[in-house]
Amino acid sequence: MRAVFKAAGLILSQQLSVQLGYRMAFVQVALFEAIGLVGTLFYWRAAATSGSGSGYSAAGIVIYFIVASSHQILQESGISRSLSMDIRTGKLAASLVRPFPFLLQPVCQGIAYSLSRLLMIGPVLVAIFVFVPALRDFFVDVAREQGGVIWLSGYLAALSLGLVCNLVVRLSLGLLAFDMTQTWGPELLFMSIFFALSGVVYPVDLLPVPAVQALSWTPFFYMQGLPNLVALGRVSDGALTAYLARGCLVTVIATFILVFMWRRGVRKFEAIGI
Amino acid sequence: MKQQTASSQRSFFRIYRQALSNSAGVMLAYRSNLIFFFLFESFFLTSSFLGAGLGVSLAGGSINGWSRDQVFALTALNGVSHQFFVCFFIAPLFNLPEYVWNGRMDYILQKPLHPLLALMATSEIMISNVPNFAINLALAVYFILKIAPPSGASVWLAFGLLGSLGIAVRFALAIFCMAPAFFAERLVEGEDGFWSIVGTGRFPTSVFPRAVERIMLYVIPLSLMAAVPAGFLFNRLDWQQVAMAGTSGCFFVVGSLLFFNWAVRSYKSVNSGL
Repeated sequence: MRAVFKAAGLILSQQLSVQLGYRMAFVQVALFEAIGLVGTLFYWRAAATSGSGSGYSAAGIVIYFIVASSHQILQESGISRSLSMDIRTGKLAASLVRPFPFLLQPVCQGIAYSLSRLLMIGPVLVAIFVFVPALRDFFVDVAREQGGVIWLSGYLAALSLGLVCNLVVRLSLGLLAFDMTQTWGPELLFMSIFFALSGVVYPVDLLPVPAVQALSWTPFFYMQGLPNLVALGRVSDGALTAYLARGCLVTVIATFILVFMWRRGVRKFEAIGI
Repeated sequence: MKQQTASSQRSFFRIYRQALSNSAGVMLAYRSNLIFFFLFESFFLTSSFLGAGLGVSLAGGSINGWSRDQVFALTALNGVSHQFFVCFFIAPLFNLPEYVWNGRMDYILQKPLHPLLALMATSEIMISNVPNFAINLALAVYFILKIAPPSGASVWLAFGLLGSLGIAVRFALAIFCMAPAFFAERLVEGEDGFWSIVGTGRFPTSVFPRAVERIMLYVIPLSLMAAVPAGFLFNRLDWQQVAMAGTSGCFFVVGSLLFFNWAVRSYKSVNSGL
């Protein structure tokens, strides 16, 4: 067990140094993302300014999309591609002989990814909220209404659940390579469903209540929708507890599927790379 | 000179026809990919319409003067332009960095055609996106007919010209994003940059603050990709604005071609082994 922890620590520190080493590439991507975000922010700001039915103020809607993009930055999305490539090329064989469970490697990779991204975007977010009083005041009001500690712990729980859920789902997508040569088809499909249903393109609570309830039985809701809504203080305490419990259940089921796919895949894996 | 041009054109059409039939053959062989592409694009279309529609609902039925149907028509028109670009232009331009890095550009430059035409004639034509092109086109026609804009041959002709210019602007933006690969291998995020920036063209111009609106219309005319043709048809923009945006679009396209011609001269035929 100690060897496993030691290996995990080593992988984590290596991955962190790799991720932080490519910080310029990250800055480049972040800059492009920011340009793309401008259109979305103005569209939704115009929408919130024109109407008032849903309780979203102009500041609230802008914050929603800033929060949503930040959450997306924290979520490792390339892990499924690298895992499926390892399986397809037979490189997985080299990892299997290592003296620790293989899945430890991508899990540490995912954690390192989120931590490195947090280190990089954290100061930017802090600067935004320090220097833009309207955004800062928005969060001060949310903390005051909901109780600072309760709101913060609820948010951290929702965010952690989202990151775990993302990791489990992405790993499962990568494991499809045990059964198919090309996994980019399902990956693209997943990405488009994620965009349509997770709340990254629109605030998910604008959908009718039954639709939100149905979505809460899928991982998509926990990967984006719930953390975004909790950050904005749009989920009451009771509802949050119910969502978190349901989210844990969804994640556990997804993890079972992941483990099943892994065991089944490794049994028939022949280390023949193509 | 005239004879040489005619011969080049003949060569281009001959090779392009061959590329088209090869692409169709390859894509039809991988039928499952066709299905995945169709589903992927359909979910993206759904998320675009959901995002646009929920924004209008939040605004109370119209957003800065654009009705729900007009916003939907704009979304569909953007889809038409996007799918046309994907079908015919995405592969040659997005493969460009790889061609530069692995020295395959040598083979492109040896063809008796302009490098851009040679790239087009030797790259895949994404027939997988034809069904979604047709769906977007049908939706655009449906919403435009529903709104019943002012008819008249000159209006429709101008609309068609603006739509074509919009596709050319999309093409030009892709050149600006991908051609820097001729200068530095590390400029690898051009594709991400394109996808982030291109989305801004799908929003009604009136949602932007005046300064940003002018930039989008007259400086970097991204709105020409969909918002200007739609705005012209629905009388959201006057003739003067449209003419200025169109002129700016022509300059943008010519500028991109000049940039490509300048960039291609930096090609050193050095294989980085990537």
